[in-house]
Amino acid sequence: MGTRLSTILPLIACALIAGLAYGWSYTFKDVPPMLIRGFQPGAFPRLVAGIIIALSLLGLWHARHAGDDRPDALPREFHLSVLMLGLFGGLVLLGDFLFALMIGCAGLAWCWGERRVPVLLALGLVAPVVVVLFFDAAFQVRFPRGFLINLYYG
Amino acid sequence: MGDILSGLLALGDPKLLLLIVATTLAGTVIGVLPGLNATTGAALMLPFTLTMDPISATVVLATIYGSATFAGAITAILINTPGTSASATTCLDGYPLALRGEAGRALGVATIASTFGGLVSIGFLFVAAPLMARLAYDFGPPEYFALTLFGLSMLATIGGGSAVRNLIAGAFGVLLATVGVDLLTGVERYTFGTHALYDGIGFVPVMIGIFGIAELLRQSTQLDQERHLVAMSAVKLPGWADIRRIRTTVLRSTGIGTFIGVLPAEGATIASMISYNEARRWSPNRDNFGNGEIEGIAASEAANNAAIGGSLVPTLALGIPGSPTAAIILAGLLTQGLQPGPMLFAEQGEFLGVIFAALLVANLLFIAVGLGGAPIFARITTIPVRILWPLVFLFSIVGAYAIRQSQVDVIIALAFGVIGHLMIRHGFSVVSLAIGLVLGAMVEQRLGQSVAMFRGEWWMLFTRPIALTFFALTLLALFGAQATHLIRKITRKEIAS
Repeated sequence: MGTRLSTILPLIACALIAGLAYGWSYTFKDVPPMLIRGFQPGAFPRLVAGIIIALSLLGLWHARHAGDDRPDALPREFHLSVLMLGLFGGLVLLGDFLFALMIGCAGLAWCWGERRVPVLLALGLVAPVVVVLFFDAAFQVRFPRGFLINLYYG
Repeated sequence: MGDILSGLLALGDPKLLLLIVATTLAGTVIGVLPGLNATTGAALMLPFTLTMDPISATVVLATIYGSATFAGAITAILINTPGTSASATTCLDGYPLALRGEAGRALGVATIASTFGGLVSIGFLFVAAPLMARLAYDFGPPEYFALTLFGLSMLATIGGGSAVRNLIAGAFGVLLATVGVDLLTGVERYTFGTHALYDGIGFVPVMIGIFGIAELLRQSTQLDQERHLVAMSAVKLPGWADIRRIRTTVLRSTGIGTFIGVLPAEGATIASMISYNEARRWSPNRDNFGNGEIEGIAASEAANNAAIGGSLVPTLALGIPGSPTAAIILAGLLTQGLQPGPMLFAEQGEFLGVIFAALLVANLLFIAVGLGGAPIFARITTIPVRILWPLVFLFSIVGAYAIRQSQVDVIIALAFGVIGHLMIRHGFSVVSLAIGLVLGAMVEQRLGQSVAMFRGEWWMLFTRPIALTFFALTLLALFGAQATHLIRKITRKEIAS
């Protein structure tokens, strides 16, 4: 990616997201004038999205003489960590919350170079179980049912 | 005075006292761990506070704020890594002093300066917050709208990044606050038909994402960093010679820290940087700064702790966060259903007294922690990141889930973790996003009320003197630097011609 591009691309992305939010706000229902308390529900988001677009354009104008500010390349561990977060998110939605925590904790430690089996077991087995039990007992948090959580809730 | 007494009497409750001691120790651990700071610590503690009563919850968050800020100095001095960004300037003189075998003296100076700064600023909080809140009795929706807008405009000056990018991040925070069912009209906005988003995007998952998960991703990019603990003798209180040397610096820095703390959105980091620079400017030992000058340590530490009490003044009195961590405390208050401002003090009579007493105890505990516990706490930094951060991840995720017991909140935390990392990488402030999110609903509500009050004639906003003053301050915050630059340029041209 070119140096200028790395500076302006995030600003273009901001303008596009705000543009999308601006356009989307026209799908919000309008309320009859007698029920309006100030302005229509879509007006304020439109105002804010408009400000973001204006600021992004200002940023782009400022960036016309931008120098080289390309961020350093990200290491392998970062990409593995993002993948692990993605896998964790998928497991939370489709699998079991406790199992996802186990895979997430042990997986992150593995991605970051931990290879000692007792440590991985402590992080991937003991810690998630203890934390889930603690939140359940101390704060009455009920975790979503799944094949492992069911063993606890019965 | 009665409030102080009732606050001190409330400390007779062993549960509350134990809570303060436990959170002071927890905050110290958070503060010494590189990567975790007062803001991240408060965000991670937020889920735990929601089962508490509002006063205990605020006490926990305020104590974490104070102790984590104080503890940042321990790692700054002993391993040249600031536990929090507010202690970055402490490294400059603390570490060289430690390398000379005077780590104990450096920690002693840091402890005394921090405790003094903290105590003076909580005294200021106790006096100034009710006064400011009393002024706010005269505020209507237009004044509150103008004040909130001023608070948002101060985001332009957060950190050392680009003002435009900081404002974009803040505006995105405000836009995020519009997600959910509009309370006034019942109209859905940006919910994508998902029931979980009807109540809007929760503060807690977003805060956990942008402060906790984003930091985890940042840590994954610097796994090769090594930390070496400096050998140290016992920590000792500074002698009379040292006290004479630092007393003026401590007083000046406490004043600067408290003042910077009161300014919306500015926090301990900026306070410590300005104080350090001022200390160097005024000191007869200015050439020694950067080589282990105790005035440098005292300036940084007195200011960053003084900023805490200062930042809580606008947070509690007006609902405008005085620092990034204060924004989390404000989010905690709002999640508890409390609205900061004059009514908070009227309805929760003992509120300020208990917070004052709790911070007083926490500041006194700093002396014990700083003098007795520093070597022990410093050892915590040697825990490998590949063990520490998976545990932080575990608490972050369970905390994000626990608030509304919603899997969608977990996904929001993960998504905002990645978004937060991208923002930091490209120079957008996550603190601005957080403050925008916290203030977003208020700014919309107050603008709506003002427009309704003036029957659609919004320009009437500019006819109210107090609102007009805040609008002027907003313009000054946004364009003051550019205007000064332009005037200087024109003046220089005129002189040249």
